[in-house]
Amino acid sequence: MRSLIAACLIVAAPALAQTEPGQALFLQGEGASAVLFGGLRMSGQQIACAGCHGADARGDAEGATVFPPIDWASLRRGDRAGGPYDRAAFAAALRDGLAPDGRRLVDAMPRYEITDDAIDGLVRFLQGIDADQRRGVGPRSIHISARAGGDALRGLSLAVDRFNRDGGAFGRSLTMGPRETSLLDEEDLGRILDLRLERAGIKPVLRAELYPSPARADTHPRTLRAYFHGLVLGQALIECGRDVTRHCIEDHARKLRLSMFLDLP
Amino acid sequence: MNRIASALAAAVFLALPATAQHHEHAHDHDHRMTDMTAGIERLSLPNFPVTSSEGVTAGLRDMLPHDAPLILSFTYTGCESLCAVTNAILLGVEDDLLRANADEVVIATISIDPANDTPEQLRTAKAQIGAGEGWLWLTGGTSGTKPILDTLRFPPGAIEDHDPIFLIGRPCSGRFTRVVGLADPQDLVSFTRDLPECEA
Repeated sequence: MRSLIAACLIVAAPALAQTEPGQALFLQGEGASAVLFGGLRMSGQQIACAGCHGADARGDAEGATVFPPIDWASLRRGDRAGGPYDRAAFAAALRDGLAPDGRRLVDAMPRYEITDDAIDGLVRFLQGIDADQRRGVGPRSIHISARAGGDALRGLSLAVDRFNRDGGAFGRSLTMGPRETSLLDEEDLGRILDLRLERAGIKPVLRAELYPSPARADTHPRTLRAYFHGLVLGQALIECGRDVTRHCIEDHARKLRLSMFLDLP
Repeated sequence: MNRIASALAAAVFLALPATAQHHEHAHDHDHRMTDMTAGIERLSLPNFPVTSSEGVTAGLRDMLPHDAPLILSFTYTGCESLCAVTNAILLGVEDDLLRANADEVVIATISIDPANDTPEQLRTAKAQIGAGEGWLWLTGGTSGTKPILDTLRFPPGAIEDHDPIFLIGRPCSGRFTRVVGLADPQDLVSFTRDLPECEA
C-alpha cells in the first residue's frame, strides 16, 4: 500500500509568529470596531479586511458584490474607480465610507472606528503585502522550499522535477532553496492539506499513475507526503495563472479536488 | 433624502402588482437608497426535512410559523465575507423587534453548505454570533438542501458566490417579499409590518 503517512500522523505544529498590528488588523480585524447602516455594531474580528478582500488584498467577488484590490499599489492607481487614494483618503474611506471622489462606498463596506496609529499600521502592511505575497516569484521561476529537509526535501524535489519536465506553468519553472526567500514552504502546504485530510477522515494513498519516478518500494512515507504536497502546488500554480500570490496557492490547496491525486473510496 | 424621493425610490425597487400593499419605509433617520432590490412573489415553503441547531428534525414548513411573519435567510458557517454582515443585520432586526415588542416575528437561517454545517456546527456558529434563542438555524442535510434551495429559488452556484437574500412573509399567504442585497435592519422589519392576515 503506497501510503503517504506513517501509522502515527506527524502534524507540524504551527510556528508562533510575531504579528504586527497592521497585519493583525488586516487578517483578523484586531484593533478596530465596525459600524454598518449607521448604527449596527460589529467587532472588527467579525469583519476583517481579509475576509472580503482576500488574504493577499487582491480582491474578490461574491454574487453582485465586488471587493476591489486594496494592496497599496492598487489603491494608488490613477485609473481606480472612485479615484486614487492617499493616506488621508484611505482614512476617510475606512471611517466615513467615502471614495476619494466623494461618492459613498457600498453598504457591504463597513465604517470602522479606528485610531490614526492603527491606520498607519494598516497602510504600512498594505504597502508591504504585495512584495510579501509574491516573494520568490520571478518572471521565469518560482522559488519554494522544504525546510524540513531530508525525506521532505527529496519528495518535494521529485514533484518539482515532474512539474518542470511537464513544462512548468505560464512560462515559469520551480526552483528550490532557502525558506527566507521562498514563496511557500512544503510544510505550509502540509498544514493545509493535513487539515483537509483529517476533517474528511481520509488516509491519503497516492494514485498509482502519479507515483514518483523512479518508483521504489521503500520510498519513505515522508517523501511521498512531500511529493503529494508538491503535486498540489503544481496544480495550484496552473490554476493561479500568471498572477501568482501565496494566498492564491493556499486557497487552491484548500479547494481543489483531492481525487486528482489520491485514490479515494 | 425627502419623503417624496424616498417613496419614488421605494416604488422603483418594489415590483408591486396593482392590488398589493405598498410598504412605507417610515424611518426616524434620513432614508437612504440602500444597495438592495425587493419584489413580491408567489412562494410556498416546501416541507422537506430539516434539522435545527438544537437537533430537532421536522419538515421545514412544520418547523416554521404558519401565520406569523417569517424572515428567512441563508448562510454557511465557513463564510468570512458577507455572511458576517447579513448575520449582523439580523441581529439588528432581533433588537428592533424586541424594542417594538413584535415577538410573533420569526427569524430563520438555512445553511447552504450541508457538508460542513452539521447541526452541531450551526449551534456553535449561532452561539458565537450571539443570536437569540428564537432565531432558528437549520440544515436540510446533504440530500435535503438542494431541493429546499431550488424550491425557494435560491440561485445555484458556488457556495462562496451568492448575493445576500432574505425572504419575508407569512407562510400561509403563499407570498413572500424577496430582498436581494444588503438591507438595513429597519427595512427588513418594515417588510414584516402590515402583512395581510391569511384568509381562514
